[in-house]
Amino acid sequence: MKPGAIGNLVVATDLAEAVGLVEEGFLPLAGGTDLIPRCTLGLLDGVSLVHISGIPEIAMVACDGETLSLGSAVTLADLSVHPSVPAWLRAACLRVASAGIRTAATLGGNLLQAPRCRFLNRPFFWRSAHGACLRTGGAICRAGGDADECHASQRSLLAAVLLAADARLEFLTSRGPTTITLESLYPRDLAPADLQAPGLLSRVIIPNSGSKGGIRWEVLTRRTSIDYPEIALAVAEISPVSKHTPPARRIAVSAPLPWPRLLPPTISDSSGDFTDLEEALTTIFPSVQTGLYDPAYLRHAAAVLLQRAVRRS
Amino acid sequence: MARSTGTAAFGFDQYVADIQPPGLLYAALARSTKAYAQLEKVDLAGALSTPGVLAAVDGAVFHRKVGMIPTSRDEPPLALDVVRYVGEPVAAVVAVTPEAARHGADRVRILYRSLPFIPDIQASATGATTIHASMPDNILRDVRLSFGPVDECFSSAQRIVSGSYSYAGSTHAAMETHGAVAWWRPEQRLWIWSSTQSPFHLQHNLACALDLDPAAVRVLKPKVGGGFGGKCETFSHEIVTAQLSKMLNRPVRLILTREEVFYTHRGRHHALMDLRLALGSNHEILAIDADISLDGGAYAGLGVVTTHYAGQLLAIPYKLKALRFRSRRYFTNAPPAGPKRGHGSVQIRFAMERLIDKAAVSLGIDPLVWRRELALAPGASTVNELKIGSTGFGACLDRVAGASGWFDSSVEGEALGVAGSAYISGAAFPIFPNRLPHSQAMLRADRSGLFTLYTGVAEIGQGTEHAMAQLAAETLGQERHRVTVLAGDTDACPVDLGSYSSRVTLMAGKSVIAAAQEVRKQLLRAASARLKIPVEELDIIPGRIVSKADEGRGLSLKKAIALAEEQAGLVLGTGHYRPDMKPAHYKGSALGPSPAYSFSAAVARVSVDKELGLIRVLDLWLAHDCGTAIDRKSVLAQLYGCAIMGYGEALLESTGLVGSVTDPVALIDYGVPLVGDLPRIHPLIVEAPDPEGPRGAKEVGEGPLLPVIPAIANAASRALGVDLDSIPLFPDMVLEMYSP
Ligand SMILES: Cc1cc2nc3c(=O)[nH]c(=O)nc-3n(C[C@H](O)[C@H](O)[C@H](O)COP(=O)(O)OP(=O)(O)OC[C@H]3O[C@@H](n4cnc5c(N)ncnc54)[C@H](O)[C@@H]3O)c2cc1C
Repeated sequence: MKPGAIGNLVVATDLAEAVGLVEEGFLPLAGGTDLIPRCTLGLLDGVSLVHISGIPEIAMVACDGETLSLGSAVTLADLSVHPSVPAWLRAACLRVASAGIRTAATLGGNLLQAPRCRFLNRPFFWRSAHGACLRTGGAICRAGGDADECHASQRSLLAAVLLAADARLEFLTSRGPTTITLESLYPRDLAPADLQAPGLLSRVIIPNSGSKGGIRWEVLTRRTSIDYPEIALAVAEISPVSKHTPPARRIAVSAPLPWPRLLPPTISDSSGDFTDLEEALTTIFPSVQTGLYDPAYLRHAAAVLLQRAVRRS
Repeated sequence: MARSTGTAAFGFDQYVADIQPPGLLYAALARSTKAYAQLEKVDLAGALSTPGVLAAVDGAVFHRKVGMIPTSRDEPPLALDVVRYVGEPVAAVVAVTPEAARHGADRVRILYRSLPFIPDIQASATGATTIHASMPDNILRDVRLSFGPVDECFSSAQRIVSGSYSYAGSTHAAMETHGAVAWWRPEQRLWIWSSTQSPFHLQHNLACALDLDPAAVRVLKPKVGGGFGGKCETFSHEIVTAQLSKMLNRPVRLILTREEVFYTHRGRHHALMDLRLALGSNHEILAIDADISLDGGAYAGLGVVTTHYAGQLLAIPYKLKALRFRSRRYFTNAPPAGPKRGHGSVQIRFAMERLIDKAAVSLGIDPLVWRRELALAPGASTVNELKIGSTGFGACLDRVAGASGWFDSSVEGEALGVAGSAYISGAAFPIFPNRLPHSQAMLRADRSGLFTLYTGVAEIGQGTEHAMAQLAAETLGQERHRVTVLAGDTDACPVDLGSYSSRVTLMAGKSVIAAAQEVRKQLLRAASARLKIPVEELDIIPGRIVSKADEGRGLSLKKAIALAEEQAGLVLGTGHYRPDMKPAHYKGSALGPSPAYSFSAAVARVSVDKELGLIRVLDLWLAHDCGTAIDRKSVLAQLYGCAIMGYGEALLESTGLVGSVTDPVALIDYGVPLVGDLPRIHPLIVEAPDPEGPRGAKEVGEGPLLPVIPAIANAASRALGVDLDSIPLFPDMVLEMYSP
């Protein structure tokens, strides 16, 4: 496998053109911080791209009292300073990648970024010596200890944060817009391939109600910028519907899980006894090392971070 | 020729990738994808049929193995018959564009017969597979040296403390990758521009590798974007470009990618170390007994030096009665390890300083105060006969203690850790045994009133040319800007052995001062004759030579130079330096002695997230005795650099094999510290002028790195109450060692 060639590259002049090209199989190219390296590393080959960053309709932030609507093509740098964006989300944006990357990286691209393992960035020569993996034409997952399933993990911090915030996504096709929950975007199983988006993601909608006190998130990275998260999780306390219903919480985890997901209520609503929590995470956390640190450590650290987030409520 | 212009920030400087002789061609290397294999066939046909490719060669074109140390030349420029690590160059392709060269290199078909590879020291030590037929036990050097009554010290010791330590390999992460442009000229001489730390060694080694007279090789060192030891040796890309250029009579360029640097770099040796200390009734160190195993990778390189330094430098900075060490460098099927800042000494210093702290805990004494008590005195001679000149070690400890508030009560959740160290200011004996000067300089006065300093020093971004200009200017009583440095050209400049072993300030500095003194004398003599004032009664001040008694009586510098030119034809001073030292009477005694030793101490303040095993370094106080700070800004810059590099090695960085391949191979995956993560760094300059140093100066480029890593580990160990004896301190490993 060699650095991949790019098929066509079209700069969309308007939204309709972009939607049409995506339906034809073009991949949306937003900031390119995830997509272009995948092409140059040969993980994608022959793809046609439609550049969408200049389309105004998907690069806006709007707030109507009930909901906050964030255009998919808004950059993380812009989101991190936008006055309508809640502080917890602004802070989370600032914790992604590095200042330089955030000026190009978009919200949509972040949620739809490819899953990665610790070897995803490795160049062609390295791979040919180390051996191809499931993502690169081989038959085994090398990061997963030569397993027969891919153990990559989608490491989006914002996915965890927005899952906890109960965000919805609006996709555009020629048949019109469809809205789905962010939760339903992500598969439940291991990460066999990149995400198939059901159209052009136009905006992310965050309900203003539902979570009291904002979203608390925690992230574990080797350095405070540039590195992808080893653990990314977020917690929302959900306002009780009535006096009689017990308070609940929504806990979302992305790294090191294959795909970002909400933890089951059995874990989320537990009072947070640490041993139980670590035990519970064992059932959903990977047992192989997909990032920098040992899986047992990650389970332990995630339990610690979860408790810290819960305690801060 | 590089000029000391200070223009790097503006992008005016020329690095090797900017060198563009007419008719330039481009080379690329085909590298081994196997860690250990017989080469069944290297098929160049695909490469040769690639559009734009002009030639392709394999190892058969070279007739000699190369290596920095004459006794351990074991590395073919391109692999011949056997490949010994993933990434080893096997063939080279030259083409009209870099892309065509790369494409051609990718089309070289290499057929291997795989052999069981040796990933690490443990596997190497079994000797089940042999990497070099001439080294059946896989050991490049097994140095066993013993000084003083070691066994008696251990049997009479009041207390014996011991520990086992491990230190991971790491890379230099210089900003500029390696590269070379070679040009076989019509006059049958080779010109080569290279991003190198040692132009004169390169000249010699290239001549050896290509069977040329060294006089036929001209090395030009343009600006170099950092080396840290990684550009000391002579590399395949340098030899290959030279050979291809000779074949095609056209200039050839090869700039390594960052990935290729990770295969080429000669990074820090991974080390496993067992240490024992015998302590006497007054807490004095009676003896050190060390067993050191180094993972040297596939070839020798400068490994003989590493192996000796690892043991020899244990004799400083503390008083001992006896020292015994066994230091072995194993071959493995990994990229060759080599010199990285603090060569050979960083790993063992970590182990030693951890053990000193462990001993202090077991004795219930203050580790900083104890280190101060243990410090070697000025003028001391160590058990292995290293002669200490000046030492500011005690002052370094005092400075870091004072600045960090070492004796004040501690803050909840934080801990301080201390470490000390010493390092050489150049090796007393050269790599090729001879009696020639290690450094020479020429200084010419120009009738315009300016001076030109010709020196062989290799500026690699560390400020060497600046320091040399400063020394010349001070000796001449002039401002620094009046001295232009011309360096980095083996045709035009006298010899200096290169930027390694922290030798330049001391050795080149001495030769520069000697050259400047000669010029000074000539100018004073000329002025004296004209002014009719005895030389002793004259002084040189910026722009003028004046009577000491009456500054009004004098003449301009320009005039003095013109008068001197009238007398001598050319106002030229020369200087040279060769340490006036003899090796001691034991085998291996040539490695370790230095004309002067620098001393350092560090205190780290850390907080540890005990639940997550995360160590946060809040402050680093780093004191260094550089003898005399010739240029304070440059000294401070080195202290900052050492603090940052040490912080990275302690907590973030490592390289090693994943399967059979070195990993990582990109800076994004390698954990160099980022500016936002850095602790507050407090550099502290200590000056204990050394009689051997130029104006008393000693080294500053490497030594200050040494105490940083153990200071951090000692602080974290104190905070957690456990021994953190393995570097780097990744959080998962820290937590494993610490269970509350
Ligand atoms: C060095 C580095 C460090 C990083 N660290 C972090 C981190 O700490 N935390 C974190 O969360 N992320 C991290 N990231 C990921 C980063 O946030 C994403 O790369 C970025 O947000 C992607 O946005 P983009 O606009 O560049 O997407 P692109 O690269 O343009 O696209 C990414 C994917 O999304 C698809 N896509 C983009 N927009 C749309 C759309 N509107 N509709 C449908 N599909 C679309 C593309 O087709 C592509 O498949 C890091 C990335 C790098 C390179």
